[in-house]
Amino acid sequence: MRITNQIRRNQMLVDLERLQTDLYKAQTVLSSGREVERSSDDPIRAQRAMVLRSSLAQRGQYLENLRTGMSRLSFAESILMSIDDLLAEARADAIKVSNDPSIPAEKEAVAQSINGLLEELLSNANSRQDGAYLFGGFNTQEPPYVAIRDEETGDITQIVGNSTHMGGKIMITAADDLSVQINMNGNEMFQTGLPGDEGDMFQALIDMRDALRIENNEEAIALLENSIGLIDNSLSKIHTGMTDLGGRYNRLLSIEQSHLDMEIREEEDLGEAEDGELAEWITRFQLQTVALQQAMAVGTQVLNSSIINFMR
Amino acid sequence: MYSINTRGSTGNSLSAQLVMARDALLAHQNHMNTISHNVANVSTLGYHRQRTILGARQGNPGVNGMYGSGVGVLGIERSQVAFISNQERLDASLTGRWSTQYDSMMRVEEALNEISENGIGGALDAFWNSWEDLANDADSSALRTDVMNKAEDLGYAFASTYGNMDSQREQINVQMRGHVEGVNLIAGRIANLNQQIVSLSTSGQAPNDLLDQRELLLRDLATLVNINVEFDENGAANVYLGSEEIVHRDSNRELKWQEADDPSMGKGAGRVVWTDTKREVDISGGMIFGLQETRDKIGEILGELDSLADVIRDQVNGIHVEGIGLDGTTGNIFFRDDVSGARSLEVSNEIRENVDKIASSRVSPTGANDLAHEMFELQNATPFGNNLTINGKYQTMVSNIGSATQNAGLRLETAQAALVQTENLQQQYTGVSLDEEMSAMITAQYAFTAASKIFNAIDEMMDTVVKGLI
Repeated sequence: MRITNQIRRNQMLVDLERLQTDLYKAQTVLSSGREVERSSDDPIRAQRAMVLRSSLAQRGQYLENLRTGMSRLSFAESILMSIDDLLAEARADAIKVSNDPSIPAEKEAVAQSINGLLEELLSNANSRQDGAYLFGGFNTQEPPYVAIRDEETGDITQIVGNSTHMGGKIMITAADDLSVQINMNGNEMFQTGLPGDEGDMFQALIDMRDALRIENNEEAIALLENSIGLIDNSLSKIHTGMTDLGGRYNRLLSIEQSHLDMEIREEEDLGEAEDGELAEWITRFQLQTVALQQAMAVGTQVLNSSIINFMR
Repeated sequence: MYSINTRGSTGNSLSAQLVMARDALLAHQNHMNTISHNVANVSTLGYHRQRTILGARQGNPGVNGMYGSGVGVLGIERSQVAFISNQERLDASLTGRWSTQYDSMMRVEEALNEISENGIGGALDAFWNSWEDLANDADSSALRTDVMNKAEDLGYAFASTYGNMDSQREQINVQMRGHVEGVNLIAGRIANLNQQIVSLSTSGQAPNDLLDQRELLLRDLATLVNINVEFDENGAANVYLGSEEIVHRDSNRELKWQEADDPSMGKGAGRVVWTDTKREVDISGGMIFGLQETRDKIGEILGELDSLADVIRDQVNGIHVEGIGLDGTTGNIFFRDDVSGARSLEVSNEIRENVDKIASSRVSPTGANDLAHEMFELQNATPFGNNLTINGKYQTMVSNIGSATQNAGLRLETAQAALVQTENLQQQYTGVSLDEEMSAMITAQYAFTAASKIFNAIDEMMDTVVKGLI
């Protein structure tokens, strides 16, 4: 084979260019940590990275949804807990008076206290979180319960529920194709708004307060005991509600855990899809550096050797 | 091919020997000239090594047999291997085609700005998620503003991606136009060289360096377009582009950039036509072809972007018109529907003026979030069939562009490697080797010195004869 000066020079340039390209790749992988910087580096891995990134974004949103859901559920649960307390207090007071209803002043004092608890219940039923009423279904901007008051005393005589969208179920998306209700509706808890409602919490307290203001002791006791029965119904509804809310909370908690597990796995997969194996690339980088130096040394030596060096 | 110069000595005489020595000096001087020419052009692109061909002269019959009559220059030969030059042009065409394609596909890929989070993909994810944020607090005006902003970001991502690719396509048209000028320029120069080469050849001269120039031009032309070259008996190169002749002996035909009023080819679009017949040129190789292919590819991608944006607009609007805004109004569109395509995925004016017109529900202006959930679920819908979601469609598009770019890169690598190999082969037959030239130089130098010694010797012999006569 006839090797001319240009062949030697071209070959050296081609080799150096190739080695420098490889070295550049190794250098960028090592400085960025990423092996797949653009789709054309490896279309299959790049597409996998895109899918994972999109999935991670969606999962992040699910986690955000779950946090919102859990905050709503636990807030509603804490309100039910305070209602539970106030109903229990009303019940205990009523029982105490029904045992000995002889002192009218004491009866009135208890009636006053029950009235206070009634106001407290109303306020709890109209609770808001971040400006939205909790127990009104979709009707989050108007109070779900409105009191009708005696014009002289200002005492509540009746509580009327706002029936618009009272039964609206507010859902969160917890995972693909999985929705969970995160609100509790007032018509399931406080009053159905239907005639003959045995579980009307407001009415139970109104009846109890009014019973204590009846002078005839026997009549008062009968009505009082009747209202205690209604309170018992209410308490059991509250307990069921708390169990329901707690159950849903725990469900969200376990969904959250599985999302967190999946998130870790997907992040690992994403790393696998686009990141380079550092140890491998460092070795490659070192080998390529040596190869480049070798090529330069050999190349310059070859280019320098000519018959001219030996001519007089 | 070469005829011996018969000017010379005619017998066994001192004067004939003097002529022989003189001609030897001239022949080796000529050889030295060629060696210097070669050495001087050791780095010249496209230079083919030349050789002085020396030949022994026809002897003269004498009393004792044939008397030699020295050396003559048969000619100066330019080394060439036709098939290698042809292969070089083919490899140059391929390299031209794939290098322009690879370069412009890389720009297209950059225009997508994937796989980072800032492209359309990231904007889509953020847009879907913003609906869930709204669902989590359905009465919030602030979160409605956020949905609007995310929608505008998405529209911007579409518009800027489209715009970047479109300007890339415009750039391609500008390049193609420039290359058409280049083809005309080169074809003109080849025709001109043909004329000079033919006239030198017919007058018996070897047009060696003009041949080098023409071969370089042919190679440059092959880099731009696919050509076939045929040489006629007078040494003219006739060049075919497709099935039509672009250079015929000393004349050439011109190509023209015919502006095309076709929006699907982008701004400044055009076709390459023959100036005389106005017919479209059949281009199937070289840089112009590579650009043309990429331009078509970008057209396809832009079409896909348009239809993707239209699907998003239609799907989102289709759900949104059925909802009730926070302000209680119904029947509002979310994206403008009086425009279409990827450049105008814009939030409707009514929503831009009042974000409370954004609906989160079909049943209640407040509290409910069923519609917001439906919007979020749109990302799992498959409006394209084949289990292809909106995100999936986009990801496939990005992946296809990546594959096309990768393919162009691999083809370019192969073409470049082939070209280097052919160039080396060309060098092997026609390149200048300094070592070779130096050894030839030493021979020529000694031959010249020896001939001059003979000159001296004959001079002395003649002197003897002349002095002896006195």
